[in-house]
Formats: sequence, C-alpha cells, structure tokens
Amino acid sequence: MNIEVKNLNKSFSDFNLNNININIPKGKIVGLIGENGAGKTTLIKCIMDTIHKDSGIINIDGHSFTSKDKDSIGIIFDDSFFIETFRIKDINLICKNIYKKWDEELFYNYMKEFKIPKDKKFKLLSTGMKKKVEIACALSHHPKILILDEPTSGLDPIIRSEVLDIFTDFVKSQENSILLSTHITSDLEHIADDVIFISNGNIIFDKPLREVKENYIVLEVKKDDFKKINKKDIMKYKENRLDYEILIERKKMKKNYQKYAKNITTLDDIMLIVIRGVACED
Amino acid sequence: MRGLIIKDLLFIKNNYKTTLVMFIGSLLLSIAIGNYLIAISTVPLVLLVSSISTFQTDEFFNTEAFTLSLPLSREKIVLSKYVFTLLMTLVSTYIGLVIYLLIYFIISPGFNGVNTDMIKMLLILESAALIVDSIFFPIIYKFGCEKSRFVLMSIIMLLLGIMAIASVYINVINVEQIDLVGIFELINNNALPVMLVLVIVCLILSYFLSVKFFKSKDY
Repeated sequence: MNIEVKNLNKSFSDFNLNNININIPKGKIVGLIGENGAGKTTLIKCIMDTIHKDSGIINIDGHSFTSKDKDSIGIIFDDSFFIETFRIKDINLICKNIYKKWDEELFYNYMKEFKIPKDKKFKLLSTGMKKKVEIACALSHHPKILILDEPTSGLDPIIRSEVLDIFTDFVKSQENSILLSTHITSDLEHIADDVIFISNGNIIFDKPLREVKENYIVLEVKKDDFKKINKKDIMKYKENRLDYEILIERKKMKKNYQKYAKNITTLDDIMLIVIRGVACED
Repeated sequence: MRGLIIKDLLFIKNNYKTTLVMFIGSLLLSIAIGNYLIAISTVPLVLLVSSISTFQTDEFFNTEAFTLSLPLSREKIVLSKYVFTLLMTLVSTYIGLVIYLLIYFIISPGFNGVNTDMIKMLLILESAALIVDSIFFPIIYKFGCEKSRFVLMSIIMLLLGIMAIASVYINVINVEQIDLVGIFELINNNALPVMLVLVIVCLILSYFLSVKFFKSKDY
C-alpha cells in the first residue's frame, strides 16, 4: 500500500503546515526528520485524521483515505496512549475486538520475545517496555503501512537494533511501507530509503537517503579560512566558537575545499545547519 | 466499537474497589439510619460517576488520539460511550435490585418501605442519572473534562439566577389559584413514563450534539 499527501495545509494560531506534498511508496521506509515543533506529529495526525486538515488530499492506494483504511495501518504515537491500569491481556482483548485481522498469537509471540508477561500492568512497565507493547500492537493486526512517531525513543541500543530489524523485515515483501518520524536520525541512516526534512511547517527536501548523503557536504572551516570559500557555493553556514560549518552541494565542491570536508556527513549535520545556520548575503 | 466498550468496561472492572467501597458504605449508612433509599440511590450515582470517569481517563492517558487512529468512524466512537452508559444502567439496575432484595429478605425482613415504590424510585433515579449523563456528554465533547466542570457550574448558576428572577414574578401571581397538590400528584403518578420518554429524547439529542462536537475536534 502507498500513501500520497497532496497540497496539505493546516493552520493553528501559532503554526502552519504549508502545502505539504509527500509520497510513501510501497516497499519503502520513509524517514521524517525535523526539529521539535517542525510539524512532524501534526503531519502524522493529519494523515490519521485525528486532527482536521484545512485543505489537501490524502490518498491511500489511489483512493481517498477513510476510517476503514485504518485497519491496514499500524500506528505509534509519540506519547503512550494505553490506560495504565490495563494488563497486557486487556490490551489484547481490546485490540482483538477492534481490528479485523488481529493476530493474538503473533501479539503474544512479540510479548514473549520482548520478555513482557501478559499479566503485567502497563503502568509497571519501563518506558522502553511500554514502547515495545505499542510496537507489538502496531504490528499484530498485519498492517500494510506503519506510521511511527518516535518508535525507538526510550529503547536501549540493542532493542533499538532489534526493532529496526523488525521494520526492515516488514517492508521486505515490497508490498508494505513505513513512515518513520524520529529524532534519532542515525536509525534512519541504517534503514530509510527516502528522507523528508520538515522545518517550521515546510518541506525542505524529500529525497532518497543516498541522494541526500551524496549531494550534501559539510565543510568545517577555521574562522580565518572562511573567506577562502566562495559565498555563491554556500547553501547555509553556522558559526561555532572556533570555526564555521558550511553546507554545500557536491556539484559545487572544489579541489581547495577538500581539506575542510567532513569525513562523513550525517543527517544531523545537515539538519542542524539548515535549521540553525544562515544563508550568505550577496 | 465493541473493543471500545470493552475498554471502558475493563477500566471500571480494574477500579472495582472504589465502587465496592461506595456500595458497602451506603448500605452500612442505610442500616445505621434506617433509610434504605440511600443504599438504592447510590447505584445511579455510581453509574453517573463511572460513565464520566471513562472520559476523564481517556483525556488523562491521551487515549482519544489512539481511539481516532482505529478503524472506526467518529460517530461509532461517540456511540460506544452511549452504549457503554446504557450497559452500565442495566448493570446498576440489576445491582440496585439485588440490594433491594438483600434489604427485603436479609437485613430488614418485611420493612415498611417494601413496595413497588422502591423499585419505581430506583428506575426514576437511573433515568435521572441518564439525563444528567446526556447533558454532560456533549459538554465534555465540546469543552473537555476539565473545562466542562466550569461550564456545568456556569449553567447551574445561570439556572439558579433565572429561578431567582422568576420567583420575583411568581410572587406577583396569586399562588393560591394554582393547584400545587394536584401538580405534585400528577408528577408522582406519571413520573416513570415521563422520565422514560425524557430519557429517550435527551439521549437522542445528546448523541447528535456529541457527534457534532466530536467531529469538529482535533486531538
């Protein structure tokens, strides 16, 4: 299944989502990155219709999105949403009576794998364990699309890696897809196919991860050397205490810039300079 | 929709201790002062509290956003609350009858109050609780649990104000001309059917208002 968002707009008194166009194709993991308050959760809530969009179209497999389509979507929100006094078996009972394709056996298998007893109350679980229950719930009704808002926050690196493996397996069939919003951009660097960068309610870029990593280079330039960089080559730069971090496109890379280039440009580097950096004045 | 009703029932089940304490407390109080109506009237009160407490819990644990991400229309989500409330009415009526039989056969065999009036009173109180719920629900959907308390207080204050103003004008009218005894008898004789009709009308109106408010809300 694929989700297509066209010309989506949503206004609040202090924030707007502006003309969002994104596509979550079959068989792909699409990462959604951006600073706090950039609009990631608002976008997810608009897709899920928990908040109303002002305008725009959300299509799923070519048809207009309806509440029935949610049977094919597994969702994890940033905040925990289960009533704390519930036990794992209560959560199973509720979901069993909501989702048509709820797989009780699969759910309890996940619980076993995550070492969570079914009689345990939700409030007695650690933050990481709560997240694991939510992940199990999102996966146990055999969804075609996963929409995940910070699914790995609170998980230790080992479990995080296991969970990322589960997500990778999920899209292996080439029929399923994932929209994954996260602050832990290193997770995306391992599994994402495409990356959508959103800032202040606007899409900054929506590109394949490989293209992002190949196209952008970060230069670390001492303050005295800053004038050696042609201003026209600079997309944005950020002034630090001892040096400048400069974002440039690979096509503008010159021989004399090589010595300043960072060995590895991460999504964090790009995000940080785009958000906190400034553009060069002509 | 069944899953959401189960969710609310499980919440009540998990918090059964509070409900049990209320029942036992009211039963003991009834025995102590010899007024068994207290024990029976606690039942609709518990019903009223339990329905509203599920809204508070949903709001506290941010369950609304999750509920809206489920394959259910907003109408069905609202309907689940009303069905749950009606189920609680059945359960609390049943418990009320059990308390009544306890009083009749065990605690105070053949006490003076045993007649159909007691059951009638129970049903009237249940209906009254449903009417209060049907007023509360749309207000909660519109303003949320926290604000709805203030809204409800404001409504009560407004009604009291209207009554105070009305009483000034009523004093001008010759009260002796009004057959107050007749009015009270009429109400007493027809209370149950009147309440039932009122409950149905209130619930239907309340449901449509709740849907209207819930449909326009963001979570």
